[in-house]
Amino acid sequence: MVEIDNILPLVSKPGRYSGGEYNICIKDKNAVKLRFAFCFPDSYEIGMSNLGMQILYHCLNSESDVWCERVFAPWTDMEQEMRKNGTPLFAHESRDPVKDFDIVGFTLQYELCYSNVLNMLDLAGIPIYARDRGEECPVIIGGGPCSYNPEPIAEFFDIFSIGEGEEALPELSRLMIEMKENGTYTREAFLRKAASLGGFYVPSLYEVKYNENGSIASFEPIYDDVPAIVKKRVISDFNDPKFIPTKPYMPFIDTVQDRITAEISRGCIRGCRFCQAGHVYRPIRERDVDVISDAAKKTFENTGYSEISLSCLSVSDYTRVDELCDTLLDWTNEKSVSLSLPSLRADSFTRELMEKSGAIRSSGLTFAPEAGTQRLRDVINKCLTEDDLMNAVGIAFDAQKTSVKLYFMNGLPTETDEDTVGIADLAHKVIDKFYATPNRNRHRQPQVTVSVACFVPKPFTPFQWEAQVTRAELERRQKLLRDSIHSRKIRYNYHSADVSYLEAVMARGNRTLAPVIAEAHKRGIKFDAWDEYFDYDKWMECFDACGVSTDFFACREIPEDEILPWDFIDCGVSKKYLLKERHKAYEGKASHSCKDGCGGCGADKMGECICRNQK
Amino acid sequence: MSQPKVSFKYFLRFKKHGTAIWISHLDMVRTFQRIFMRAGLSIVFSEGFNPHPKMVFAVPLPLGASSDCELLEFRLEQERSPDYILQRMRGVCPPGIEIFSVENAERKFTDIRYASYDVYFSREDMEYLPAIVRRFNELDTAVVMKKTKSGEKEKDIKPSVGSVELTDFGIKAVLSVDSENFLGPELFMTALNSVGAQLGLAPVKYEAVARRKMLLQDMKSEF
Ligand code: SF4
Repeated sequence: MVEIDNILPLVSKPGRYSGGEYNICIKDKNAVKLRFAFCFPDSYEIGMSNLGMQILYHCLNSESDVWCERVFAPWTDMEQEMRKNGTPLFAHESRDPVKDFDIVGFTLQYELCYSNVLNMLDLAGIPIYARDRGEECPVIIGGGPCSYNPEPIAEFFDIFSIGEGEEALPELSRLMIEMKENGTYTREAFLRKAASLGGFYVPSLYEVKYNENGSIASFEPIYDDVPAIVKKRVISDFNDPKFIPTKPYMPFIDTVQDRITAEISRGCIRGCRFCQAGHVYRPIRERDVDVISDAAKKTFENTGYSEISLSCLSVSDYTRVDELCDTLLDWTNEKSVSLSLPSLRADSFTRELMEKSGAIRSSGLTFAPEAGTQRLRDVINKCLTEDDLMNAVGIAFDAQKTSVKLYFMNGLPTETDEDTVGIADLAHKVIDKFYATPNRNRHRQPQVTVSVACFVPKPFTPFQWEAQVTRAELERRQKLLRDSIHSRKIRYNYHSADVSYLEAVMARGNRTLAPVIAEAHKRGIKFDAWDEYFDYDKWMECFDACGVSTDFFACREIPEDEILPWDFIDCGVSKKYLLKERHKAYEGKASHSCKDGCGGCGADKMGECICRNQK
Repeated sequence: MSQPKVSFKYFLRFKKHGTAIWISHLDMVRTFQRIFMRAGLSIVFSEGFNPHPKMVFAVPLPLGASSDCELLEFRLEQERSPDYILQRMRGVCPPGIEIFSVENAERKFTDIRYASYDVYFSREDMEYLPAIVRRFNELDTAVVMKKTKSGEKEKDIKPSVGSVELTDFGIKAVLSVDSENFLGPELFMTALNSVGAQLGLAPVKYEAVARRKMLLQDMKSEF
């Protein structure tokens, strides 16, 4: 156990590190056979709000001989004190050094956390490169959305868990326990066996060769018993209550998502062509109303939270959304628990849904048209029309709402200036709609917030081959949009092109990025996801120092026949389908949603998909 | 206008120690709100646009200090026996928050005038304490700079000090908690250290501080 009581008084928000939160899992360390340190490579507040971590903590701790604990990236003031005192990275439940654990897992939620991963390993006293780790080191495993292209960080990890971890991580833990008990455990033997469990990728067991231009020439396992394709894992039964945490740990300090989060579905029927989540979380599964409601009720009793938020990619696409709301409201009203539905879609937005959703209490609503013209919305397969949007904001204004937030993207494939200006037009029309609504709120002015992200080509999307437009061009379009907005009732904010550029490099990177990330860590880069720490120039210096081209990864259109760094992963959705969707995009044709018929993406081979219930 | 609701007022007494000493005042409000929810007790909320639970903690406790004698006043929508409330709440508290009694609120927190603190020091610092405490007790005034909304202000904290005693772990201090003369352990330490500085001593730093008792005007009877 490390001593931190002497440094807690010196740092901001000591509640980030003190531990002792309600519902955490405490076990007798001498009575368990495996200790799992689950690391979130960002601040405590962000990590504690993450549903995936909550679920896997629950699933691992359901194993009687495994003890899973939480670890977060200490904020910079804490890190400074820890380094000064020689205090190593510790787990929050036991305050034992992470280095003493059997397995150390990192959940990789966004590319900009990579520098933090290395910093945490370093703070733990664990060598950052997998090849430098000895028998005494814990096995380092990665998972989460970024593991769909783990290559940039492949050399820092011993294993990646691809896909859903609820069953996979306990399986991996049992394998280690078994090998340690029967005396067959060595690092090497374990990694080799893990590779054939299914759903686990062991980077050191694959060899990558490159062409002269830097693209991949071959990507092959070095042993015959190592699978050439790693198939992602999908849980056996999305309705099984054993996968649903009903005693979630609760932070004392204020965090982003401090409420009951009820997961209602996985996957998305829409297939927006830029969206990675919409593809990699397929097959599409909906949890039964009763299962959701029972779990939420138990969670309420175990937490005392006064708000339930439904989690999924698009709430209104849930088939029985009305029934679900009614079933929940049945008991939540009586207990004064409120319900909130995020991510309502404008094309299925109704007054009734708004009233049930808790949106009725807030002063504003959020919609995501993503593109400014119908042409471009067809290209990206965002099947939302201007009429849908006008109808939705009309309902909102009629219900006395005055503010609307609209999400868009800049730099999408085939985007022209007309599309960019179209964003401003749409925002102006929403203002006009406000004044054309007879029953509008007469006491307040309308406000439209236009929030524009930059397109980042992501693995396992129909746009995975696209080039990102250059930063200079992105900035030109951002300025064009600003100049096209003439109303002071429209607020405009946009993402930094620098950040999106680095994201694109990492998202489509390969193993040649490892030295760059290691260099970045060496130069003290960390907390890249935070504006106050993100330092573009410093990153570019690292790329230069390592002689690695960033444009090669971000701004190059990848030929369709080139081997992609992530081709060895089978995420369910087939490359053939992605290509077909890409070609349709260039024809300006949208695809129908999975509810109107299966589009044949291939994800159903992984398990039950919504299309099987469509008969 | 809605009718003012009938409500029932109680006190609860609890200890705060272990990891819970790092829960700030604001977070304590939320923490207790959820303890009440888990216990199935409906606390009364304020009216208005942004309702907040009607809860009052007796005397602010600095972050990082433990306490044996915290007090919380709250209102319930239904009348419950103190015993029932205690039983319901006990099993649903985070570690380090230990509720040990509930009673009907018949007195007022304003009766609390002083609190007694145990302040713990390292062995090295202990050597300087006798001289500092002796000198401090001889002085008629002890002026420190106190942060206020409009910058810093000089303040004589001597009238806020009930007593300062040397012990084998450090100091036992009785300090005023009156709103006018409130003196927390931190500012008290600043005062001690400025006395130390006059004696040519380096500042001492406490390792831990524990509030032991809430006291009435006579500095002896407990609230
Ligand atoms: S298998 Fe069919 S229904 Fe299922 S996600 Fe793919 S396209 Fe949609």
